Amino acid sequence: MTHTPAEAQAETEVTRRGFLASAGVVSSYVAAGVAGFAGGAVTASAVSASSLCTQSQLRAQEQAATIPFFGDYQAGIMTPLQAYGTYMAFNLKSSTGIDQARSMMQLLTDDAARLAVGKPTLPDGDPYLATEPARLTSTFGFGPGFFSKLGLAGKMPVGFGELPAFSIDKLQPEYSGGDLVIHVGADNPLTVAHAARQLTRTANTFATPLWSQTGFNRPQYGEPTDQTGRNLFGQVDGTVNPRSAQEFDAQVWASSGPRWFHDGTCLVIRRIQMDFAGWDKLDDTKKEASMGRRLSNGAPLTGTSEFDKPDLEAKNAHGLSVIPAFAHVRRANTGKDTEKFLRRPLNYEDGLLPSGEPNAGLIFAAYMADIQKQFVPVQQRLADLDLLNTWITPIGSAVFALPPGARRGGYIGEGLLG
Amino acid sequence: MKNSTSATQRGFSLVVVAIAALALVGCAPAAPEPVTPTATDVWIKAVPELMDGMAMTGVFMTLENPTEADIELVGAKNTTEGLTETAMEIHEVVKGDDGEMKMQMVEGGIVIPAKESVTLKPGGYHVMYWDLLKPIPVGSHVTLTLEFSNGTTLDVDAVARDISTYAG
Amino acid sequence: MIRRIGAALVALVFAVGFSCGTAQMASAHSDSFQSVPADDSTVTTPVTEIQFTFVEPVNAELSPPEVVLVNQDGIAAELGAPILDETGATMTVQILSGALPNGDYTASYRIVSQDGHPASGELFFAVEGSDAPALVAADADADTDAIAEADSDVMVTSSGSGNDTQLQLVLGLSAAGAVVLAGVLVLVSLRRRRNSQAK
Repeated sequence: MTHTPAEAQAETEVTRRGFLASAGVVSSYVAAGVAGFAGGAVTASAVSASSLCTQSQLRAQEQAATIPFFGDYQAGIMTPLQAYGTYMAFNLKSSTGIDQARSMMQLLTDDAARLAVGKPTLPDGDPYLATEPARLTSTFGFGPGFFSKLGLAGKMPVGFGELPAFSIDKLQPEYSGGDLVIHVGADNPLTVAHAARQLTRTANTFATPLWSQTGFNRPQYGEPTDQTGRNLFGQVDGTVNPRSAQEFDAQVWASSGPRWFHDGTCLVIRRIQMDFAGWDKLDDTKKEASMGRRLSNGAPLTGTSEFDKPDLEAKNAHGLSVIPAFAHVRRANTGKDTEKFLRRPLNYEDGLLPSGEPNAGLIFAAYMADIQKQFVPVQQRLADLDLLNTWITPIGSAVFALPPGARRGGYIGEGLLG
Repeated sequence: MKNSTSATQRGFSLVVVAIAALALVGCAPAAPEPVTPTATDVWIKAVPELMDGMAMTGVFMTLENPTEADIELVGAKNTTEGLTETAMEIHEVVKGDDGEMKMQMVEGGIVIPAKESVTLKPGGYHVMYWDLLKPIPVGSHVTLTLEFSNGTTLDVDAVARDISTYAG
Repeated sequence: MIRRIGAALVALVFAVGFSCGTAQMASAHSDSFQSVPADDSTVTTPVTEIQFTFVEPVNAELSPPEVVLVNQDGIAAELGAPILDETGATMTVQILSGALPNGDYTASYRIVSQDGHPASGELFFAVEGSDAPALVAADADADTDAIAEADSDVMVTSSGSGNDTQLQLVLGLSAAGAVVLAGVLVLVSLRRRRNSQAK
């Protein structure tokens, strides 16, 4: 039999078309082009880059950019935030045993690998929608029910499990729980929708859909000039994220516990509804006091630039703390390395509420090696005291264990199901 | 899926045998070894449960012909134990005189032009399984042997996928 | 009278420092409240507690109120936990060391009101005719802290307008002339500004 791996072929095809397959190369061209276009401080390299590529060529390259699917880690975690994304959760059907779960993950892996390089899935009825990957990533994870239903409870990662109930929670079942999560991200919303539909069809044979949450962002390209994104309250969100490989090793990738989970990570998804009417009543000073950071650039109230370390001890002339006791930054930040993690949120906007306010907020997605150790203490402190709680309400919550990446010929979850 | 071709089924089998025989005759002993086309992305429409009169399905793939001469896919043989006793056929879906889409056998086999490839896909060319004796669940694998006009054969493994559209 | 002059000097320094108007910096909007001792008052009876009465109830559940009391040298008095009366709008803080000695005092608070809005401000008063012993600094770094604190107060005050350029101007100002900076620091500690909003 001559079953050539689809992704190998597709990569050849992409190269043949003359596209730049490397997202890094594409993005640097894009960044340079944008700088030149903006007409600000145009550097020599920006000039040469923009003269090499027209705006339309840059856009085409952006749409053709790919993120490798295979590797030590799953894509879509370390990947700089794409502009669009969706999280979909499923519950396993009672007919799905370990053999079916293995089939499901093999098929999902095959689908995702093809889509990542701009190829349709095997049963794709709309193959032309697959041709613009736009940094598409598909990421998979298992909820606590996945382990218990398949008799794998003994293989749960260390520190993985349902979150405790928090006093601030007003959880709705339509945004909570799940045995399987599929996360799709890309810089093109059509690409996200198409990939989500392909992967859902595959999952639907083995599982029933539970919820899906779709959102958007200011995209990042992994460039040094990337700005941290903002949430819909206008706050710079994600400043303290890990950025280096060492930080990811320390915070995100599991290196202890069951062997199959090494290089995997845990995902906490919280749907946070925002009260815009309430927030809008605050002036900027009060907003900044609540956050502990400046609105203009995300700098802590004790600093001048975004990445200045908040000085929680600093006092003003009259002896009051500069960063208030109730400020989000103070409550979230203990300075403990063991309580840091990656935040990769999406903003959501689902039309208007009867009040006329947007039905909108944040799909808070956090990735960490150990939920119990890294996430729960932080969330507990925020639940106990965080002035932002006045204007935000968690209405959905779910946890998943995301296996390590797959090698060519293998599949996501092979260590657990193989 | 319309079973409009069952009447011509047996006649077609004879044609396949005849073509295969011709191909064999055409190969002189001294001629260079014939080249086998390659098959990629081989999959089969899953049949989760057998239903009366619907125990059939199609196999899809991309065939590539690296040679300087056209090669035809002229037949296929099931090699999965207990899956069917009925001979397989090469089909296509075409628009009939009445405007309805219908499935029919491909006269002379599917041509893979020299140095080109051809894709068998739902709504077009496919290799047909008849009279299935057991279901083909999503994610399971089916093996079969493809037969080409130059006398070569190719064993392939098809993964079963679910499609909600197309009879196939 | 010194207070008035001080306030005028602050305004003058700012006006000279920034040619563009930064009026809101010098005249920060105030959340109205009443207090005992009264703001800007000189007290000749023993002061053993401070009481604030706000227009809206304090939401202590959302965030415990903060109160700090310092004298003219930046030395802090040890305070008990703020206690709210049944209306929630009146907050009393005991001075744990007993009656205050003579001096100029600043009492600062930061509270969250019932609707979740943060607010902060200061109350200024002088004590005369007290025979209580002088306040003792709780920790040795109090003096060095005072300078850093004053500096950070300048920064925070300037950021109230949300304008980084102004912030940089302030920083540039402090870097440019130590004399001017010293003047600002002195004035900041002298000024009898009433409540400012939350930082």
